[in-house]
Amino acid sequence: MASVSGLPRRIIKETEKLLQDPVPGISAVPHEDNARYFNVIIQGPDSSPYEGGTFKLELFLPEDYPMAPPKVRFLTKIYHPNIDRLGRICLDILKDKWSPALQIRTVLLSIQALLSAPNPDDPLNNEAADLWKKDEQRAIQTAREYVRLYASQ
Amino acid sequence: MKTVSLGSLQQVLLSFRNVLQGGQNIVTCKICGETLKTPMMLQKCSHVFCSLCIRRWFDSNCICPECRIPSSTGELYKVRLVEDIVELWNTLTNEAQVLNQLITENQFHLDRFENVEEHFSCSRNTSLDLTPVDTVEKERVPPDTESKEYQVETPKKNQRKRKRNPSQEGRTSQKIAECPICGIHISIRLIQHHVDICLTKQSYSRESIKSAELLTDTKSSVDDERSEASLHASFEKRPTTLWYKNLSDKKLKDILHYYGLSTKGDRNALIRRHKEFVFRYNAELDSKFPRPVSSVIKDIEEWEKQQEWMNVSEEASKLPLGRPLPVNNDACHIVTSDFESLVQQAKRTRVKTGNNFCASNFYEESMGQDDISVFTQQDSEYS
Repeated sequence: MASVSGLPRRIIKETEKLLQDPVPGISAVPHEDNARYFNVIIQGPDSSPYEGGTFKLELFLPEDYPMAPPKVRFLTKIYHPNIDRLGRICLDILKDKWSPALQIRTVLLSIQALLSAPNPDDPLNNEAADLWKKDEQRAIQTAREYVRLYASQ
Repeated sequence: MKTVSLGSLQQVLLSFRNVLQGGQNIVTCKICGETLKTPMMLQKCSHVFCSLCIRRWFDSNCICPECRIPSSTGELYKVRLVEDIVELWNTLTNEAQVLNQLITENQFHLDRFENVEEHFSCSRNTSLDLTPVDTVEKERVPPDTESKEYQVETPKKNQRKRKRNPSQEGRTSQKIAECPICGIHISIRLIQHHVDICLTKQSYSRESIKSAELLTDTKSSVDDERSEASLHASFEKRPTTLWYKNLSDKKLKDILHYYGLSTKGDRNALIRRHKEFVFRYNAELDSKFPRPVSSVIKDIEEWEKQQEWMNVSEEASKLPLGRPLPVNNDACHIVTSDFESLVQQAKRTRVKTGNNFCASNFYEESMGQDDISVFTQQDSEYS
């Protein structure tokens, strides 16, 4: 655990808080070899196309965190207009709207909220966004199908 | 005589503890997550952060971290009241720690009260787990126990025993000393613990702690202005970050030399060093007791060493470098196949266009590694 001794106090505190008092439906556990790398699991929010799904993500705190945002990526395949095939997420707070007052906790909550409220007007997965706009019912059905195929335990 | 039940006292202590915990949130910087150090307020929105934290943040984005109102270093200002409140808070938590330590070491001989009342041992146990309660206990328990409850409810034998309680001993025999650092009055038996904590917690360095005399004076504004003036006198005006793009390496080195900083390292290292100096030096000027420039430079050297060490250890443990990932294999497989199709696509375009050979070659290599190398790509690809 060489990287822990040089770890900023804020990261240590956030990790402790995440482990002691986890957010409902979200779990984030630091990797034992690298305390800046987290294995994240997010439950699909109720009354969304992702309900019942279990999504794995990875989260990495760069060297200049909290001045720079964490890097987050979906590892589980998901059909969503703001998440591409590589799992990259289109979310303003992970880019230009980042603020150091935000935390791992708030970022993961925002991602969970993004699952409840897809935004096809700011797409990363054009194909999904187009379908979402043209035929929302079919898009939701496809999303459910993806959950069944890839995100069910 | 009216008696106070220790049960109700315990209630008071618990509610006080909650108040104190709420207080900790208020005096915590939202950027570094620690108790505010040299608090600075933003003019438009009145949000408060550590001077160093907010200066570093403004280097990348000029908005308030909490409310996103546009702001800049020019709109930072000191509020003495906030500074004093944070200082008071630190004293309070230090005291709580002293007391907590004493209780855990059983110096209060609390177990001798066991036959007095069960309530007491109850409140003592709760006090052991969280420091804010101890503060309260220290402030409240001695007068209450002395004047009311024990005099009424306990036999004389116990009263005699209670005299061994060090805080009361100090009170009766007036053995009270003044802390040379924060100036609070405290029993002689506690003073050593207190000073130890005070010394390690003080925001200003030991260099400025030369004699107790000087320390008791530090609160006067005259001294304050003098020390600030001496730091100001080092350079004509406050340094600012620069348009580094327009600066030659030589010019940059000259500037670093002017401030007494090392000129070693590549251009990035020079820029980083200058920026860090600007942040730290300005934060030092904001503080109540600014230290000399030499201490700031020393801090930066320490910081650079630490950064270097971190980079080395981080590189060794970096996940993208071929370390197996503890992830769902299926998910991995899907993503890898996605990558493969992308690589194929890239190859096809390379054959077609024929240019950019080196770039795509490099791309292909990085693909061949672990799929997590997506982190190393620029985020600009997607918006």
